[in-house]
Amino acid sequence: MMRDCENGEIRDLLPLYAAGTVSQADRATVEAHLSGCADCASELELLDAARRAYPAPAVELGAVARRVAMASQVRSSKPYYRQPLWRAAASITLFIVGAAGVVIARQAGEVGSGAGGQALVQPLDSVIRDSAGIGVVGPADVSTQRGVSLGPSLADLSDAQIEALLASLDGLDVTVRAEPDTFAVVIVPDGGVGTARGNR
Amino acid sequence: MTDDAGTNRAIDAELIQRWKAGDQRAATAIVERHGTALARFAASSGVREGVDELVQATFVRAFHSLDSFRADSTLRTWLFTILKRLVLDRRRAERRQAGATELEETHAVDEYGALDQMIADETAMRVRGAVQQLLPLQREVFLLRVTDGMAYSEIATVVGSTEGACRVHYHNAMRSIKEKLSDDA
Repeated sequence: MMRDCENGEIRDLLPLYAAGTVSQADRATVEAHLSGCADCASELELLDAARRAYPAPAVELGAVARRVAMASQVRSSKPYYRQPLWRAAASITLFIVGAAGVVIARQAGEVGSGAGGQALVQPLDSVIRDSAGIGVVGPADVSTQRGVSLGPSLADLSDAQIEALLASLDGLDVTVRAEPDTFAVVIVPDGGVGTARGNR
Repeated sequence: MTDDAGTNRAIDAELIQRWKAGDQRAATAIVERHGTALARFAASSGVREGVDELVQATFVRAFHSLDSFRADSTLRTWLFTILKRLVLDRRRAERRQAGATELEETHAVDEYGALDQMIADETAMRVRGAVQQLLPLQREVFLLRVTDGMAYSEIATVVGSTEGACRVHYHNAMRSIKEKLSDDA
């Protein structure tokens, strides 16, 4: 039977020497020892035979590398909505939309409550002033004529005028639209009452 | 750590950094540096077919989780650990397909038939015969030490044991192989 060298340190280095992973300094030490130790030389032959007994199977490393690179690229590419630029753009867009919403809401508040609920009535003043009886009031009129003094209101109407107003409202086409129209109540100082639907 | 081990560690670290920076050639370089050793380890672990796929799967999994690689061990050791898990997963799947319920690693030594033709000399054949009769853990430690020149600390990481235990396994394996070869002579 093969004998074991008593130099445990060298024997420990032999497999690394056979595999080529030993350091330069240890390589020199091992080679110096091998020149005078038949036991270690025999063990080294055994180790070399073991390495030959377990060869690496042929693998197309180039092909493997290409497939790995492709797979790695696919895995590393995140969905567009998870990429930093898209996230930043989405954040900015949300901020702008939110800010615009706040501004619009504030303006609407000023129109609806800041003027004391007189938005629909307010344009009538100009309608009455500019037309003989029936005028057309649209949203633009409302927004551009804020702060104008009020003309006649429902409180100024007589019972007959209110009845006439209700009767004319009953006669309106009440087909529901996708968005609400602006109705203007036109009150003529001589007692006539009419309504007008805002053009869209 | 040997000088070469230190150099290899530095080279791998640089390649990893380059790959993280988007250099796909670094991935190719890593595959070329460690692919052959992984293939040999797969074969010595009893894998007869689909070594390419296993090696590829190892690298894909490694690159996918490269951020979790802390360099506590060498890249090669880490790759070996991944490959070992893949080999065990595959073996379990094959056992299930075959209707077996238990994983018997000792069966791996019977799966070397395809490699017989690759071994030219009689001495190597005899040594392999002796190695195949080792206990599974002894064989694994012995081959990692001899064919890949791994340090005991790295082997311990791969096989999930301690450095001291791996040292004992190696020397017991060497003694057993020598005894077998003497008996055959």
